[in-house]
Amino acid sequence: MRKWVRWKGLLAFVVITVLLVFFWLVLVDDLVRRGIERGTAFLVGAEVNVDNADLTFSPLGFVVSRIQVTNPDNPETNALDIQRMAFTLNTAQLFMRKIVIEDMSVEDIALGTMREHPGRVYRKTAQEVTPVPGERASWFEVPDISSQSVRQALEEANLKTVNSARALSNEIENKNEFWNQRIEQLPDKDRLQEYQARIEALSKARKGDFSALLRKGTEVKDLYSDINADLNLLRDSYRRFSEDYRTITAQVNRLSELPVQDARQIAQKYGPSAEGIGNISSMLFGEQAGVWVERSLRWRERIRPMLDRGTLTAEEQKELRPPRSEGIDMRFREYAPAPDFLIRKAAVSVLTRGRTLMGTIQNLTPDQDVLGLPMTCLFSGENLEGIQGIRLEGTFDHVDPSSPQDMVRLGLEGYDLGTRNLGQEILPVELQQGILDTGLTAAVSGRSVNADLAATVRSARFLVRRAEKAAGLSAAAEKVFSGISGFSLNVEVSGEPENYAVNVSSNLDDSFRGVINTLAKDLAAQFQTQVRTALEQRISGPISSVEQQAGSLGQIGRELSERISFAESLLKSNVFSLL
Amino acid sequence: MLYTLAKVLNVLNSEADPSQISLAVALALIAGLTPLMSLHNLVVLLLVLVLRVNLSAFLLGLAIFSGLAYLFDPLFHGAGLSLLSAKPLEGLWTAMYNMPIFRIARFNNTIVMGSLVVSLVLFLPVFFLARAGIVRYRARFLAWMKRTRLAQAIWASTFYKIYASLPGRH
Repeated sequence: MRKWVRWKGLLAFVVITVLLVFFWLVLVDDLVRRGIERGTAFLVGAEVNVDNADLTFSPLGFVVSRIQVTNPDNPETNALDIQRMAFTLNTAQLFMRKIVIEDMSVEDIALGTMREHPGRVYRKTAQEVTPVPGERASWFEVPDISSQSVRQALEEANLKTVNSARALSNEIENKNEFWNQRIEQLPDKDRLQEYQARIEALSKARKGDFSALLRKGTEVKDLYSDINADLNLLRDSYRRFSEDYRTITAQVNRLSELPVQDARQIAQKYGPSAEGIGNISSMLFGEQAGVWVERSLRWRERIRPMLDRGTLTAEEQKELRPPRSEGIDMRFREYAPAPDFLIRKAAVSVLTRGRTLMGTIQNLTPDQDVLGLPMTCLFSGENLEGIQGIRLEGTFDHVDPSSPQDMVRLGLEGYDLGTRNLGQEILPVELQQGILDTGLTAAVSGRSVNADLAATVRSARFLVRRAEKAAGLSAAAEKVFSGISGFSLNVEVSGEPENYAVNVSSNLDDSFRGVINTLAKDLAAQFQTQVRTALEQRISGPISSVEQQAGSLGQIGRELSERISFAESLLKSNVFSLL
Repeated sequence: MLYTLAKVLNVLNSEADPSQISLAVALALIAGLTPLMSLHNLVVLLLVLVLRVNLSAFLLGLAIFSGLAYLFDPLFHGAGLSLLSAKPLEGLWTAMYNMPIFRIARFNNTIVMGSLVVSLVLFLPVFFLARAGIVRYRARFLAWMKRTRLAQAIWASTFYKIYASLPGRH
């Protein structure tokens, strides 16, 4: 036994173990500091710096001072700057390698503070939401009625005038061809001359016996029948030709009136309208509303990894995978399931606008499906600089990761809007003062985004600047704005995160309806005139060509008329003189 | 390198019991192949200190096996993954997973499990092979070696001076 057991070794073991525990206690502060830096940096995607972390034993927990979280979109600033954070750990869960923070206090959070050195950015979450400013920027637009837009409208329109001119030209050509062929078949001047020759021959014939008289009478009768038959043929053809000619002439006359109708239709279809111009509410607040929606969606994407482990991309999962020498921690069913990381309750104070905004966050964990409870938060503050009261309430339900449901309610009272530039280049409006009271409910459920904001602005005063492009509009708007001291505003957002619609309405629209309608009417009239002029220029060639064709058709009528006159004269004067 | 080789020879040529040396090597196998900062290595340390094993052999073995462990990590990971994924053992792993002591021991880590099982399987073979090897070395090779001209030359070399200067040699 003595050969194999070294009792002094037991003492050495105790000494070594105590030394290991001692060194662990010395190093644990630094380990926790680095753990917070690495863990938070992974979630945020940017560098995180912690000044100090101190272990406390009763109860077991840590006090961490100055946590700076780099803003991934602007690395020179901090997204969050926390002065002090203290928390207690659930010891029993710690033995199960789980970090369950029962109580946490986060004090004096400041937003957007400057960093001493720009922080490193590992992942830009902002890119996960694709903003579409181009589509939503034109909330209010005075339509372009330049020659280019007129030309474009003419190109796109299926012009009745041009189509009719083409069809008429073809028809005239067909008729021309038909009547030219027909006139060849009808008795011509030569044939009528022959009748003339026969009349002369008969008039010179000697008056002889009775039989000669009878023969002459028969020949005169035959001649009369022949001339009469040809005359009837010519008259019938002329009648039919006249019908065709009248139809063609009527069509040619109608063709010259078509540009006016076309211009009216093009102006109605492509020209400015009150609806096309937009409403004044969209122009004043639409762009800002779009920016708020984009910003909110961006923040949601940023905090999603804190709410739902399943939202990590394959690339992020790869980042999470430990190095080769560290293997993989396999998971098995737990008899009493608990999240790997949980902050059960955190009391948060945010320094903003000269006051402190107090709030609580509950059940912050990326394993809501394990905890079975959604994350909730509530922040409120009163008498802040420029805000009489604010209350923000949120529920982020990822208990079922396949159908997350997030909802935020914001109540804002007495928010001093200060001076703000509104409107666009066409109508630069400045809100010089205004107090806002608003209620917002926003929800993201699965792939659906919905938000409803109802606001009233009181003590409002506007300044309208003159715009070169629409001086008339500026003047009219100035007059209307001068009488407005308060208004209501509604913003509705609906759709998918990548493709949503923002609908802005306000009682300002009622005040401005007359102004917009007048503007639209003036612009539409200008547009119609321009279209008509352009159209007339464009189809003057085809119309004159049609008129020429119609003129050549008239030649046939004249020819027929001459033949009929000749035949009639033969019949009336010459044939009857023979009798 | 020369120093390490000298230390190996020093241990082999010492008066220590071959069993004490081979047990030290076998324990070094466990501590070296598995991640050092694991709970079971505290037990290994306790055994190394309480049992009268050769500490030099243990430290030397630990250095060598720790180096080898990095080469065999993929093998250990595969073995651990197979064991932890084995359906028949699922009940056992689940029960262990719910005990704090095993969670602290990180038994559910593929490399911890793989390297521990491999080193435990190799423990007895390594012990007996090392013991037999040391006995043979001392009985045959060392005696023959002492008689060779090469040994005479080595004793006159720098290497021998290092070897001779090692503490515990005299």
